[in-house]
Amino acid sequence: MSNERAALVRAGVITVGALLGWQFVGAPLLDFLPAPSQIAQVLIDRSDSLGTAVASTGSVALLGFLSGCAVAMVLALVSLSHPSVERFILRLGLALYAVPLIVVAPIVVLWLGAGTRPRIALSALAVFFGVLVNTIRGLRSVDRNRAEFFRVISASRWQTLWHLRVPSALPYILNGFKVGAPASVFGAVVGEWVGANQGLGVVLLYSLFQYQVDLLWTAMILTTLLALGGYGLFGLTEKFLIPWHESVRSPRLES
Amino acid sequence: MHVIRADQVTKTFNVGKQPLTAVQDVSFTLEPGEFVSLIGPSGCGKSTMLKLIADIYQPTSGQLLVNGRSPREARLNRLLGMVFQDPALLPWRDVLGNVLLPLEISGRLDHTTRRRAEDLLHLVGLGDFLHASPHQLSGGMRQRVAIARALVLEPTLFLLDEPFGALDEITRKRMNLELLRIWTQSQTSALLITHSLSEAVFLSDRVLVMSPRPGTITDDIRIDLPRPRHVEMYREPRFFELETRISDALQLTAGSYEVAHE
Repeated sequence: MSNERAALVRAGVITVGALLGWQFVGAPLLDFLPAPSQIAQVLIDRSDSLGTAVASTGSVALLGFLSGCAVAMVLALVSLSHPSVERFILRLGLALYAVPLIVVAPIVVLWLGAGTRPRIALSALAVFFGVLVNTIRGLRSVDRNRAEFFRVISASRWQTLWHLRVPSALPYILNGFKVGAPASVFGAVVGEWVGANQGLGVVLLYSLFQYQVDLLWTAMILTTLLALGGYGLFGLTEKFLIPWHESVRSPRLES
Repeated sequence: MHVIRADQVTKTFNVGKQPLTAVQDVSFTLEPGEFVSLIGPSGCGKSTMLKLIADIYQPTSGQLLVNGRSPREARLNRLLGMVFQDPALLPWRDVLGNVLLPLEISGRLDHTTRRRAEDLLHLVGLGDFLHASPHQLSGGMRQRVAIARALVLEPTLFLLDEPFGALDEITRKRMNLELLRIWTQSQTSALLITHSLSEAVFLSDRVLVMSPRPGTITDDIRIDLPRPRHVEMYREPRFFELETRISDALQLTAGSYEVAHE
């Protein structure tokens, strides 16, 4: 307990120190680096429009995340049917993932038209592969003795899937979600760059072209916090969803 | 009817391009209510033999019957209860949840069987740990959960694959006593894989001695100690004689193995 408290105090001291350094040393010395106080001012002045942008990007990222995960998990289940199916799905996923998102974006916009649909699709695309790879690996990572026990009690395919494979895969799937959450924000912002009338991506582009450096930094920080928030959310759920897993319950190794 | 009837059972694995015979021409029977141990050095195919009986592997040749049916039918009719060296519990279920699993899978979960699961956990001394997580238990306690889980479907044949191999000698002796007590109450037949001489003598009606690769049965030793067995028997001269007898059988086969390689 006192260890956690010390860590919190340490984090607080570092944060305050960094902010002070940024305010009084970094910002005066470097061009195009607004001080924290300026960013705070932007946040207050533009709280309405920035709030709308965060909500827009956040909701697109959430929908993209959910649909990307859903597609990835269905395909991961399908890949269990045969090794050749798994190979095909993984290659297809890799091919999709290997094309830079910024290049795919205009095509997706042409296909799906303006509005939120292409943004959701791009966000889903950014999420999809990480979740797919992690889920497939998880579903394959079943302890051999446990699998043999399920055979001895003559569990059906579906029973084995539900009672053994899926719970065994859960730590991997959550890992996929953790990596996927920031990716969903990235995908949403890329979508907003190519064609949208609202969202943090739009604010980023607008402030860049208008030379509003403090607004640019503010939007960047908000985007980062949104992405980190998604990651942190799944970090927290691990404690509740997989308390039995080594990564959650083993004590930290001291070096 | 025999509970197990193995007739010239051979199992060959294909390791790379070279076939590896794990078990060769194994023949033996196990009668109802009997406790039989299969003893032999590491890698002699004992576990393979057990997995053939449990229908995890299929024999390359020979005939294997469990309760007069094929191992597959016996497995599908849930006549088998199995305990592995690794307890292989599900960490996301509590102790009771692990024991209820075979009942859920077989569709036999109701008030009566739920009661049976709880009674079994009391029987193995875990009555106060029904809702503990497996990772909160010691190795010996986990193995007791695995034993309760294997018995909850009231199997005809109880298969034990070195269940206490990972435990220390003191815990192991205690577990042997407990196993004997549980087995006496459950009235099933049992086949135990072990490499402990005293464990084999203490628990069994018969000990089958296996030689290393290719694994084959070289001796069938009747343990004529009276039942019920008790701890004082460890000190009896007859116990030592039987242990020495098995030890000789093992050494002899080991000796001939080395000679064959020179």
